[in-house]
Formats: sequence, C-alpha cells, structure tokens
Amino acid sequence: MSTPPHGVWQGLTDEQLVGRCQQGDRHAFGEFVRRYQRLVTGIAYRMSGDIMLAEDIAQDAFVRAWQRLPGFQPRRAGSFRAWLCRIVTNMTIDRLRRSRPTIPLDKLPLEGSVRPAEAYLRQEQARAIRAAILRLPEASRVTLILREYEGFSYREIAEALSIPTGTVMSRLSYARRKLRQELADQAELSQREE
Amino acid sequence: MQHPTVTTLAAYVDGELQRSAATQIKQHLLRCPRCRAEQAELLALTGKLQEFALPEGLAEDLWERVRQQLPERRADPQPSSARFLRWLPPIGLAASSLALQAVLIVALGLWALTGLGWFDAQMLVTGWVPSTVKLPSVPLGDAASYILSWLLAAPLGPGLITLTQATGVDFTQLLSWLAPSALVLVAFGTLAVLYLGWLLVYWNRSARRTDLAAHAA
Repeated sequence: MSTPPHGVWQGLTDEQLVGRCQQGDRHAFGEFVRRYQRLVTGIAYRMSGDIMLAEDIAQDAFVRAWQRLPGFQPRRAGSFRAWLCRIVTNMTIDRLRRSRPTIPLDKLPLEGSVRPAEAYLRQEQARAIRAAILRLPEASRVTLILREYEGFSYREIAEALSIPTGTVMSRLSYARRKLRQELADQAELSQREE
Repeated sequence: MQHPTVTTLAAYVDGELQRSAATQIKQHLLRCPRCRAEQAELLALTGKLQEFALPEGLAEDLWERVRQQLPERRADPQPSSARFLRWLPPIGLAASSLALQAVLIVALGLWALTGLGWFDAQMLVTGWVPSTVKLPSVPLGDAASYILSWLLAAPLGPGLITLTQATGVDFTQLLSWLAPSALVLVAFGTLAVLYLGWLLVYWNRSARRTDLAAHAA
C-alpha cells in the first residue's frame, strides 16, 4: 500500500495514534507522517536552509520516531508533537555540526521560488532574513523558528526543547534583538551601495 | 507603571502574558510612544520573517519515502524487569543502611535502658561470650563498650566459641581485638553505604535522562 488510508485515521487523536503505532500499525504512523511532515520538514529547512538536507532529515526523523515509539511515554516525554520536534531539532543540529555549509549563507539559492523581476527585491529580502536566521546560535534559532513559523506557545517550546519557559523567553528575546540588528545593518549597507 | 522589558513586551505581543499583566501593558502602551515603537518593531519583525517562506512542494508525499525506510521490526520497549533491576541496587543499599542504623539504635536503646536500671545489656553479651573473654573497654566509654560488645558478640560469638572448642585455640580473644576499631568501621561503613546509595540513585537518574534523550534523539 503506497499511501496511508487518511479517512480511517484522520479522526483519531495523537494519543490514539501513538497507541496504534506502539502496536506496530504502520498505517497509523502514516497518518502521523501526513499530519506532521510540513512541521518536521519546515523546522529542518529553516534550521539548515537546505531543502534536500531538510527532506533527508525529515525522513530520518520519522524513521527514528517509528523506532523509538515503543518506548515513548507521554507522561515523561510530553506530547507526541513536542517529542517529534525534539527529534528533528536534535537531528538537524547534529547534521549541521557534521557538515558545515561551504557556500556563504547569503548566497544560498532559495529553492523552489520563482524569479520574476518584480519579485527580485522580495527575494533578496527573504535571502537576507534566511541568512540572518542561519547565523543565529542553534539554540536561539530553533526557539525562534518554533515560535515565529510554527506558532508554538512558550510552554510548547519549553516542552519540545526540554528547557524552562524563562529560557524560552530569553532565547527569543536574544534572537529577535540579533535579527533586528542584522537586518538593520543590512538595510543600511544596501542604502550605501545604492 | 515603569517601561516593560523587551522580553515582557515580546511576551505581550506573542499573547503569552496573563490577562492582568496584559491589561497593564496595554494601558502603558496607550501613553508611552517609546514602548509603542518597540511593539511596532516587534510586529514588523514578525511580518518580515514571513517572507522566508517554505518552498512549494516541500515534504509532499514524504510518507512514501519514509515507508520504504521503516524497519520491519522495531526496537522493543525496555521491559519492566529491566526498570526494576535498575532500581534494585539503590534500594538494596538504602535498605542495608537502614538495617545498620536500626542495629545501632537498638544497641543504643539497650544501653540507655541499662543505664536507667530497667534492663541488663551485659547479660546479652555474657550470654554469648565465655567468661574468659575480657569485654573491651574502649575510650569512648561504657556506651560504646556495650554497643560494640553486643554488636560483635551477637553475630560472631557462637561461631568463635565453636571454633575455639574445635581447634583448642582461643578465637574468642578476637572480640577484644576487634572491638576498638569496630565503632570506626561501623561509622565509616554507614557513611560508605549512604554514599554508594546516593551515587547509584544519581547514576540511575542520569541513565534515565540518557534514555529519554536517546528516545528523543
């Protein structure tokens, strides 16, 4: 069977799906993949800035989640979503540490995006933002990504990263301050060049 | 109200403050242009960040790729017997420590009762030890003597007497030699048992943390 039977599993909660997966039900796990593939790949992509790497990490993260699911205990590890985020975050950081990018961050192509003339400035802006995000320390970067792009609450971020809420706030504060500073510097540089 | 910190203002913008705190910030913002500007900066940053969008077609049909990679058999969860065995050493050590301390408390109690004239602890000792053995008199006083004699005579006495009778050599003298150092040994033994217990509990907790991290990673 190539695709998970969405209709059957869509109505189930994460907790119910976890139970099925722990009994070895691959179709239930397929529903998890469908439910969280955008979240997992999105985190990996925004952490790494590399679409191919992000998809590889996402795939590996789901495989690892499947392997670890028998030992998953919500009482200890929190929600499945938070647990999955922890897996993909750790894997991304691990992969990034093993293979540092050799291309300058602001020169990385924006994959999948079109390049019409009117979108040029916007694309440059997006590239600058991505480069600024990728320059953040990993801890602050992932915190910012979970908040700004995935809409996690502070409590959910704390759960996903196993850190206190106060640390979430300070990391976010640091990340935003650095980003504002970097983007302001870049804007100033662009104005001078013009 | 003083100016809120940037962190607090960010929490307000993120909708993370409790209602009373949020109301205070809201009122402050009405009359503070500086904080309003800061709030606007935060909102603008959030807006700008959205320009770093996900590429189209990202992670489509990931299940097909994942499905092919899923192993046939998954790792079994840690059996409950393994979890029990992990707790066994610290529990065992804690129990030993408690038992050791219970013996000391009982000995001390017997000595106290003897002191009050309600009981004769010496009888317990002399019941085990032959009259030829001179009970130790350690510098720590009668209390220590009673405790040590009782502690040593109870487990060792019968065996030493049997050995003495069998070999003809007076092994009961060992009691006199062992007594002075026994108190120190007991004290250090208790400390060692407590320390080892703490160490094992610590090890157990860090092992559990490693397990959780491994599950997550």
